[in-house]
Amino acid sequence: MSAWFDSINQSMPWLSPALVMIAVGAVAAAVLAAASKVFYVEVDPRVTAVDEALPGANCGGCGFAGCTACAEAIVAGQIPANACIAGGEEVTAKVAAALGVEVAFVEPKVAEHLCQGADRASRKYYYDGALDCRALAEFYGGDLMCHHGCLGLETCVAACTFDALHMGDDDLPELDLEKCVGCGNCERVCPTGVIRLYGLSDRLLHFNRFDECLAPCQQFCPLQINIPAYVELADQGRYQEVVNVIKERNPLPLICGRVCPAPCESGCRRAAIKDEPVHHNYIKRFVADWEMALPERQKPLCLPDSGKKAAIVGGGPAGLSAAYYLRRLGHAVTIFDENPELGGTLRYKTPEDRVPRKILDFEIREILDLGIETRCNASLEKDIRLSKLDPDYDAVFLVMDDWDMTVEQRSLSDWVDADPLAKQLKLTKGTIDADEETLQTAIPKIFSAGKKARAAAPAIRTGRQAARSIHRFFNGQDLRFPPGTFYKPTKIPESFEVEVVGVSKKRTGLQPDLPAKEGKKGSAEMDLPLTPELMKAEADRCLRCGTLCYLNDDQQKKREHKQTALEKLESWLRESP
Amino acid sequence: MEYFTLIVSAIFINNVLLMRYLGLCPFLGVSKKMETAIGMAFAVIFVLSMASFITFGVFKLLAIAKIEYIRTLAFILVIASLVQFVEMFLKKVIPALYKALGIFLPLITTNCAVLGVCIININEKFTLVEALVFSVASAAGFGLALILFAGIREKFELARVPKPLQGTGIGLITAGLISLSFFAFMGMI
Repeated sequence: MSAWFDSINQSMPWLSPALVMIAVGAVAAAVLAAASKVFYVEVDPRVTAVDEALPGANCGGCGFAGCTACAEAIVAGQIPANACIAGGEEVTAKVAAALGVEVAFVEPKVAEHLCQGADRASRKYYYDGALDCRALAEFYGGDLMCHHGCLGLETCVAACTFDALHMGDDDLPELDLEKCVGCGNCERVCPTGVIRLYGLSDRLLHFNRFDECLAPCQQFCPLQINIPAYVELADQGRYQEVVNVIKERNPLPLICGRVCPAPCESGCRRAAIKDEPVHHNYIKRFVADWEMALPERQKPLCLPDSGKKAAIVGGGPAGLSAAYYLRRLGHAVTIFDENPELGGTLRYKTPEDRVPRKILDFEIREILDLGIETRCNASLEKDIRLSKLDPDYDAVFLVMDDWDMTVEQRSLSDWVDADPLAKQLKLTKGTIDADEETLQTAIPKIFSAGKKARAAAPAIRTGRQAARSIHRFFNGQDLRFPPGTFYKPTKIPESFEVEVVGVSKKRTGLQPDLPAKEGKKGSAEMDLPLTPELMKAEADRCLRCGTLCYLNDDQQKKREHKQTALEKLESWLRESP
Repeated sequence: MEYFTLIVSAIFINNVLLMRYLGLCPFLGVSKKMETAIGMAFAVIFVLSMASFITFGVFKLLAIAKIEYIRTLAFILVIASLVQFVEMFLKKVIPALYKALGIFLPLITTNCAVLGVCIININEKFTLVEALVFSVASAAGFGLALILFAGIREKFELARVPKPLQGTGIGLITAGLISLSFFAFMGMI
């Protein structure tokens, strides 16, 4: 044998290697072919189809280890077909097509970063440990004096699988909203909650909380408007965005720009150094007027129709506000009012020089144009009967208070007694008793504003609170607020103990004492001399406060320098041929 | 005692990764996370013990035909087929193990550490038992180096590393230092 191989190898050196390799290859091929039959594992073709439809980014936003695991769970029916948040509507449609099912609408969400002051906040200690926000937060909640500031160790940047987060020059993460898909990875890793995932409904129904960054002015505002955000936007000339930010809390900016006594100004840190406070309300009014003068206005974004119907009894500020938010959340709304026109106290109890009817009509029209039905001249005895509304509507919001204000010689108890359903409601001091937090009455689907709707600003807030309760009632969610929510005016005491140093006084010459406090003969309101330049100068005075931090002069200069450098660059570019 | 020396030498003194520089691509590629490093380590132990067994037989076949010089070619073919077979077998019979080793099995098909150890077995003229012991010990040494390295690299994720050195740069420096530390075992035997 050995000699035979020797002779072969000598005469034909290519033969035995070729034969051996062919033989080994053939055996291996035969074994693999047999194994593929013997060990064949059946895979559900739907899993493959769903897996192909998913984005394949393995971001983990669905709560599973990767897209394949998610596909398996979808096919197994453990999670719905719309589980892929990152893929959005497009992917959901593909998945649904692969499975042959229909899916409900999923509200898109996007990340937002709330802290503006990481570099100006004072530190509790110097940290030199592992570079991870979660590790830092283990030590007394982080090294910042405030408990809701950005710790700046880029944990969210590392967590983002879509390259939407980058660290900016000011030690704060910058969001690239074009790339953000709303998977929520950043929100899950952030220990302080400064980066969160919010959709339209979250934005519209959010109530300020103790654990959030709230400037003093924002804490004073009864409507909880995000004042620093809109002042910043106004400064940059992005007026449409200013309107959008204000309307997240207040659907009546034109009227509020006129009647609001501006409690926010008393919280202003400029006032704390005996300077003139920043007059936010005039910025708001300027922008609201700017919007009214537009030939074509942007229609506020509404969610798709939910199929739920709500009735609102009372077309004053509370009713209008509730209607506005419920409609934007996709619910069908009908407003009932005894009077020939909507507006309630604003129309029938406020003088023309405070609230010009032209403005009121315009603002109400804007709200109704969202697709809200109205039943004016409704009769209390016939149309507005709870037992009559009950079968037609999924929820009812009652703004019935100070009964004799518009209709004489009648009392709420008569109305209640005449109706078997309304009899179940409890009455206290001329109003329908409801839970202070949820506004829910003894009958779960009926909500009441109670006494809260007596002044315009609290009424608007209460309307939004009712919209929140009704929306959550429709969705079967808990109506209670998370602990520490400011559903009634509350302040964070530490905010007002902050010593303001390094800020010099600055005036713009704006004399805004005229319109709100003393009406000038007839329509004094239209001649407020607020030009865009003056408005910008006023916005520039804002210290962009957080709960504890603010911009001092040096930081403000740095900021201004940054802006002018950019402007200079732009002007160079424009001048270059 | 002879086997003990063989094992200690394969794991520490002649570590396949740090002394022989075999299998460096998975060493840098899958060492960013401890989880993947452990998966890779076990997959190498698993595949290498079987590959050394089967290549031992194949080499005997080549020796009969007196064409030992094509062993590299033949070993690659055999190991590749073996890994494919093992993958199919595990998927059907032990799905749990298949999930744990997951993507690492096909990755090892072209791993030079596996082929290298099989060839060392031949060069050193080991018996079958010696070859098996040496292969498992070598694979354990590979796993040890990989897991140590992954542990250090995970810490680097949270450390203040100068910008130009971040990622692979600091990884290679660390690999060099671990390799130097393994030199200390040289005097043991």
